[in-house]
Amino acid sequence: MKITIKLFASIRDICGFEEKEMTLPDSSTVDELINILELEHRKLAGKRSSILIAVNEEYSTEGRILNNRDVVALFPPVSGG
Amino acid sequence: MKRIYIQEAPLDPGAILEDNVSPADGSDLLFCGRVRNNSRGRNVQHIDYQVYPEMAVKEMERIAEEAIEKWRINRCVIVHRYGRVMPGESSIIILVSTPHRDESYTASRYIIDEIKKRVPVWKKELYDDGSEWIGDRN
Repeated sequence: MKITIKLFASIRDICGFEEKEMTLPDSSTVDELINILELEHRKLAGKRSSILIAVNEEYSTEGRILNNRDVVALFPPVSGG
Repeated sequence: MKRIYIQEAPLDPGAILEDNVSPADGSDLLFCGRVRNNSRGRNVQHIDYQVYPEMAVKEMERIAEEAIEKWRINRCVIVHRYGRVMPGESSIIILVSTPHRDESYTASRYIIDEIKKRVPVWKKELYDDGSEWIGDRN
């Protein structure tokens, strides 16, 4: 299945991209997606415990099972206002 | 009346305050969040706001709906800036209009507190000697 991943703020800086399409085995979880990213971007490990997750623009969790065409966003704690 | 949006251009609080005034409301409460020229002892040159546009607007809409459900709000406007904001400029405006002042004070406080917890916006402060993503301190 194909998903779109979007990164923001320090997570974007670490991984060096804003958005890309990825192909994953069916029924992959967000957790498994982050594991794949972490293999390429080791510094992500230090952020792991504070990463926030959104799937299709709604907050979600690491255990979320992904579907084809989902949009997954990963970002650090927000600091708006 | 509810209007929720993000914009890159400077904000105009006077225009927001006078747009769609409701004669039934005795209290218009306008909150402006401004960029300070100092942060934890360092001089701030500017702040770059990064935003996840689709989700930020959705989340601010949700917060406004929650406030409208809890209090008698006739006008609710939330505008958040993105991109570069200079010291002294507003980064966010929240307007809440209610028949009486108690409700607008409570509702406005609820809205800004929830925005700071939930809305996907990040600020990067630029100092004389470097820069820092603010959420990352936690």
